[in-house]
Amino acid sequence: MTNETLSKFKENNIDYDDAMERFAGNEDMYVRFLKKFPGDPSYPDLKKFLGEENVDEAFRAAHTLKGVVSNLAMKDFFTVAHEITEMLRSKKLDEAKNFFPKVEEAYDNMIALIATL
Amino acid sequence: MRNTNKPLILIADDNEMNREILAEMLGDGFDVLHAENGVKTVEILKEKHEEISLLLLDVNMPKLDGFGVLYEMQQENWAEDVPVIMVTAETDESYLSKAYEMGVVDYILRPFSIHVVQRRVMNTIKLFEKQKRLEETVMDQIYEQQKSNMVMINILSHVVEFRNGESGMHVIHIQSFTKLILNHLVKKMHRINMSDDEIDLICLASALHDVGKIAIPDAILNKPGRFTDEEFAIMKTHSAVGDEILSQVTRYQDEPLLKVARQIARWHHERYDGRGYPDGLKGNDIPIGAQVVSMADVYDALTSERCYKKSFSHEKAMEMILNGECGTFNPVLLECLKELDTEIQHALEEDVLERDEKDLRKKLRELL
Repeated sequence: MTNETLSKFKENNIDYDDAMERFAGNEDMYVRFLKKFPGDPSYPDLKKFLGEENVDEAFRAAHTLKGVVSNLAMKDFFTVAHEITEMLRSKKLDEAKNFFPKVEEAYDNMIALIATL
Repeated sequence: MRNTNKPLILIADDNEMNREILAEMLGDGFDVLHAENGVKTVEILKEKHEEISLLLLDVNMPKLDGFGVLYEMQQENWAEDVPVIMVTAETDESYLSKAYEMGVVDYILRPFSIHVVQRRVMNTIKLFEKQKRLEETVMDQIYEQQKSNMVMINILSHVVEFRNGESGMHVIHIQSFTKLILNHLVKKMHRINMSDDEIDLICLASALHDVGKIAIPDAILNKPGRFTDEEFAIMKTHSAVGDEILSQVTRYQDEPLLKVARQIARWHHERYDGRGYPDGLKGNDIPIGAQVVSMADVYDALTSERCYKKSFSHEKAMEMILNGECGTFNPVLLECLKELDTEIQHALEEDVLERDEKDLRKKLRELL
């Protein structure tokens, strides 16, 4: 990975070192899964179910999204995914909807970054 | 069929990326199956639980969640074959203890790490295999011992019957009959507290019910025609004599088997109305084991050919017992007999020893 990419990771608070530790230094594998992230359905599901005000399914999608981004070492994204998961767990739908733009922003940042890999 | 020796792992997670990360982290040492929801997981388990070495189970799944899968596994006894590692981001104490209570062996937290995934999976598989091998060994040993006991008792009772010219099947029939009636009785009457072990003990001890016949002279024992009063009086001593013989066994008087065997030997010709012998015990003063063996003895005598009579059909024998033509019995036991009806007939026809072996193995498995 180039130094340029690494500094982009740092800017976006992706913990490359943590990922390398967990992927046992297998950068190829890690990058392959990062590149699959735009195809992962958990974010679009969350957006869709929030729109439909289906709080149970929205919770499940948020919970899954949280798991995926934690595996990919996306720290900032993990923080917001965790927060919205907890709001939905306690069925605070309005709160979650108001909070959602932060999740969207984190997602868009990641998609933009992954596009450059 | 698979053509590899690699352990087969079932990964149950609704998120494809999660499944793929886990599969890649496991590496080449394993074969992997994927399930994208709880219902699919249960389907795969149903078909392949004997092949699968381990289940990696996500909790939060659509259709049926991880706890639902665990519940099904308990119901179907698949948990005996397949150890489960829970995959979770939850570290909540109550959540994890619920998972453990439902049979989960270990858990893997998100985010995943290759080393943790591989180690936990490998350790769990190895421990489980070792445990299983040990269980099999212990089971074989206990089984062999129990089998020797059954063989000894059956030989002993056969020796008694041999003089009688009866087939060695009489004792085996009595055991099957007794077991069926007692099992049914326990199910039917909830106030009767009798464990499977107690039932087995009575069945085993029932084999010795006629041991006192070794003290009856040949001429009487094998007389084809009717007994004179005097002969009948001698014949009737066999129950008290059986008890006496067993009472002189020097070493094991405190053993439950011997105690129950003495009761059955002494009292299997008592009658519920108090008109039996040798002690004229009445009603439930007669131990339940002796009551059931008494009925079994009558049923088998009726349905077997003897030197003084032809055999009756099951239907005729049932009719005679239920009509009270062959003595009086506990009405509850008569009800049991009526309700079981042809089941009795079939049980006496099938290979009882083979069934005993299966029963024993099943019980040992539950025990371990």
